[in-house]
Amino acid sequence: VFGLGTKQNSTDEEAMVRFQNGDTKAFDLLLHRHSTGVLRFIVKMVKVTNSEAEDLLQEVFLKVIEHRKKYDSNQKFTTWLYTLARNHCIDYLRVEKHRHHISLDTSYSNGGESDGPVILEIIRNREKNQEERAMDKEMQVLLDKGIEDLKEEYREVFLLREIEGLSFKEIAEITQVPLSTVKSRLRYAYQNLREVFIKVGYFDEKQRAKEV
Amino acid sequence: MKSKELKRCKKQIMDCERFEELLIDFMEDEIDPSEREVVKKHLVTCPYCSKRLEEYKKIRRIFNGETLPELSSQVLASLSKIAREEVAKDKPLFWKRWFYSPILVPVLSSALALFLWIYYGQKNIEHSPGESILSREVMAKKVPAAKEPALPGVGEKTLEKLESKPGHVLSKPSSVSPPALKEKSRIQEEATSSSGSLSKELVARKGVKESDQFSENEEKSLGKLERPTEEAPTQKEESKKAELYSYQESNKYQKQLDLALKQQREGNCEVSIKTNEELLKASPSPPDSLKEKAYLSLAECYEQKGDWEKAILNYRNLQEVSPDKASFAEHRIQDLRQRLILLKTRESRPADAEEGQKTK
Repeated sequence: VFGLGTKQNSTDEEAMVRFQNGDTKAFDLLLHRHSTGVLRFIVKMVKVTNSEAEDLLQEVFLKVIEHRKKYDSNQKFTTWLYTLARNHCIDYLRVEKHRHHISLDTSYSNGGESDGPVILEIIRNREKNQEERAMDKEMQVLLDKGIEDLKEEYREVFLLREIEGLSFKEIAEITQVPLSTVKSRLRYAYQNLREVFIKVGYFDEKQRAKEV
Repeated sequence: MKSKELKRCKKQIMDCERFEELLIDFMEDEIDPSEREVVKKHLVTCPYCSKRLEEYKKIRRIFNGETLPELSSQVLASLSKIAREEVAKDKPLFWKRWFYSPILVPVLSSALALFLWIYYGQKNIEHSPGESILSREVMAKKVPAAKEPALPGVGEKTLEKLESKPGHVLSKPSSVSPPALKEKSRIQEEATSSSGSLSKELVARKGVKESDQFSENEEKSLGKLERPTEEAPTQKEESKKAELYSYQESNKYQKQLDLALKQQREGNCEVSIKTNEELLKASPSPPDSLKEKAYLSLAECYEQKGDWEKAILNYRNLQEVSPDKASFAEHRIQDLRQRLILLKTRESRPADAEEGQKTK
């Protein structure tokens, strides 16, 4: 209502600068644009329930509000945002890992048992269900599981690239590793995910035979 | 034959291993243009690598095809609210937002216009060029008492009297308000006795306000003059209080006039004009002896400033309050009038007018 209003087509960086200058509509715009992406990143990265993921997302955006003055307009906004999101997820994982460590026997045995039936069920279902849509659904569940099982370093690179489409350079900046490392990590991520599908028998067996 | 085929196969696998490293970069389009061409060529000839690329693409497609997680609007709303609250804490930034707002200029300018209209519009009734003489005359006819200070005993005599009997005047500094109240009722009486116009009411209000303010200022100076006493104030004392009060007031006027004259001497014409005008606007009206000096000072200042019309006005006022200086004022008025006429005839040639001014 007051001032210049919030242009819907302004860049993230412009919006963030306006937010720094007190325009809360600009913050709403950024929230609207990136909340889903960040939530998706969180869900895949730390594998929590939806409400827990929402809490984490809220904490990430609270950091955006709190540290708004620290944002440098020369930096891409998504790089900054996902640095906050990624660091927050890693902190969360550290705490979770520590907690799991304490109750090691229960969580490990439970995890191992619950994994098996999922894959078995998919194999069984696949034989019955030949429709493509159902197959995609299956593959999504499988992929989810695959991503969850990826090493943390591979997972974050894969998610940053595929959710937000960040460049390798930006990912290198966020994860603070060399560009070549980002490239190899993404490659490992894809190779591992492909292995998951091959194990279940999705991709052509003949190719696999040739490979061996 | 068999060994040859095996060799070819091995070479192919080695090739593919090399290309395997580039496959993701190729898919993500983060690859050197030269390398891309090489990969492209290889993909045409190698079904193994092209199949693998398709598989990677399929994984990506599945990942991007999944339904996006839904975020409750409650979370978004609460975040938005927090952002607004946080920004509100940042007051300078909030004002900055206003500052950049294009709505600010019209709002401020209209507010300013309204203020000027209210402030000067009302002041004009009492004191403004052009109108002031008329309104003053009208006022003088209607309320003869308002022209002269109604309170008697202005001057040193009163002070001497008061100083000779220090214990009799004011019991406490805070009890200055009774004279102020008295003052208020006096002015109100005057206002109601004659046809009660808005201007008089204004004068009355102003009188009350100023005497109230005055009572606060008085406290310190009064403390030196007299000591508190237990005696109950009689009617006689009341009148003495009024005398002292008017003495104090005239003293205040004298101080203000001195300040104005000092400012004039320092060449601070604008400020001097302000001080003098404030003095003349004060109610009850200052004594003629002070008015005379104030009008003269004002006229000189306006003359210096080049605002001859106002200068003439003040000389006229001077004539009114001081018959001694009437002829001197008349002389000045004639002189300034000539200048004004000269200026108006040469308005189209401002340079000439300036020259004329200089020669004069």
